[in-house]
Amino acid sequence: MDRYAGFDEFVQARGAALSRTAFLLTGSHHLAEDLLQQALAKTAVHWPRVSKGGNPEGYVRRAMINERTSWWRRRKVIEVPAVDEALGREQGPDQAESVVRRLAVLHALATLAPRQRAAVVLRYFEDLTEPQIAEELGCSVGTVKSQLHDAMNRLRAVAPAMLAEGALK
Amino acid sequence: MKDGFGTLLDEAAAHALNYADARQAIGVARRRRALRATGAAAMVVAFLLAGPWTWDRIESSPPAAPARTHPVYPPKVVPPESAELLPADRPVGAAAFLYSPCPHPDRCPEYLVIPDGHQYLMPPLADRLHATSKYTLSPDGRYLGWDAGEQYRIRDLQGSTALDVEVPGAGRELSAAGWSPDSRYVLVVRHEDAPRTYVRVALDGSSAPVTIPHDDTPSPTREAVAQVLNTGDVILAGPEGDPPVVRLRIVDAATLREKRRIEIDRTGMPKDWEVASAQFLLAPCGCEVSFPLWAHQTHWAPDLGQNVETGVAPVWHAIQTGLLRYELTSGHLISRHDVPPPSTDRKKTKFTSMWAVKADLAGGQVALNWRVDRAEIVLVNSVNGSHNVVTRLPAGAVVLVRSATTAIY
Repeated sequence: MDRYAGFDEFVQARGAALSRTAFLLTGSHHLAEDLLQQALAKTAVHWPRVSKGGNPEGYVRRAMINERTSWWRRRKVIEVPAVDEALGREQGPDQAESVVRRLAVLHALATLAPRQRAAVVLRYFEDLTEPQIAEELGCSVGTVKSQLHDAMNRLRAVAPAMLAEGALK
Repeated sequence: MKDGFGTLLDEAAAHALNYADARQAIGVARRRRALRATGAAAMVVAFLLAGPWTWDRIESSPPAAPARTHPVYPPKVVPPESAELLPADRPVGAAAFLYSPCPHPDRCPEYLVIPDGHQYLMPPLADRLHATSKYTLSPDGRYLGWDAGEQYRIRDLQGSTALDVEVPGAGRELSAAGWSPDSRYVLVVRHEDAPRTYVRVALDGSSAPVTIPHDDTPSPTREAVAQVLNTGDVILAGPEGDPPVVRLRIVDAATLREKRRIEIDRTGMPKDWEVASAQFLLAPCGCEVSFPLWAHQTHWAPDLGQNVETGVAPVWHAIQTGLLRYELTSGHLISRHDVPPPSTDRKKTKFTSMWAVKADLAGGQVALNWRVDRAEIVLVNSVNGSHNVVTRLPAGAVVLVRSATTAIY
């Protein structure tokens, strides 16, 4: 029996969604691909057990978050804020506005510690509840609450304009 | 429906590409499992041969650093003693790159390398001169293209099908002028004295080949077809009359209707002994372009502390010094990053190391480093500038990486 049976179908079905999470966790196409492919390779190694567990997507997300945190600890990845000059430009009604907004979001996320960033992405992008985030991060619900609280304060400090309209609740 | 910050995250995430590749992940997983099995077998043998004393020592010694693996690039490639000819009738999987161990096509064969390290011998082409440059690989490594005489042939390496592209005109060679970053489109050109004819081909069969109605007569005062985007639209670049400002126009491939015009102002960006190439690399998102910077033919390079002269290298090509990266929607400069300067021998008569960035792919910008003792494929992280050597090849190897339209000797 093929030990990787079903892995290809899982990646086909969920690859795009996991790619978006990887992009928000890293802010870079290059790093997002590295992160996701490393997580998928780890998942493939344990695929029979992971697929039996019933939540392979959660396993890949956990692998990405842990890998991202260990990159940060090893300091192999240096957070480079997105283009400052773009943030300072006046916003217009054309496509440039969307580009500036995207860069602003990535810039703000880049200022967070890895686990804060993961908590924010899981909460506001993946729409997970605090207990679900706690399970994904392998910590208590209280820790998740404090990570989100600190992250929100940080985002308000670095991107007041972006959050001025009460976007972050 | 989300609102507020969730919507902002959705909008930013929509910019992501699909980075997931199950085949590559399974390939890495298989290698890791094989490595573990080999390691376990070696431990058993060591234990049986040397007894518990050795076992204690092995157990107490620090763990060895794991071998660096990359999903696309095998860590070391040497020419095989014998290799299977690339089969025409069965899938072999996406390719990592093509290479020849030496720059003399009549002396050295060419090999297609698969991410798991397997090598296939390439069938010789009619024109053996610069044969590696006759091929191109799509950015995802799935498609292999080459001049098949009357047509340009594009082979699906993950299947057994091939597509023959007819290009109007006759008599001159055909080549791929560029791939869209998502490997969905390819531009095929027939090199005429004037004008050149370009055909845009959709590899997913979503549209029929389109002959681009642009008068592409080679001239420094005219626009030239430069690249194809993920949308199928084409970038026209030039004219080259005003080097500091590069004008790009994004147009519909079939009608040439202009969709966007971008002016990239490179005034003052290169150092005074550098020139920016008119050719550019398209980023995986299709939203950024990078212009390679080159040293003048002969100059005193204060940053390098030496007189750098093109042509004294073991291989003949210009010296790349860095890249300027611009956002395609606005033309604004994003960053400059430098490639390591070339090193020379003590007499400064020949180079012992020289870099060139050849492609901008989702895994990083792909550079080649020619050293005296070996050639290396290096992934450059354009965010932080870090370099990772992913594959080592024999010295003097000619390498054609994914997305590149030419190999460099």
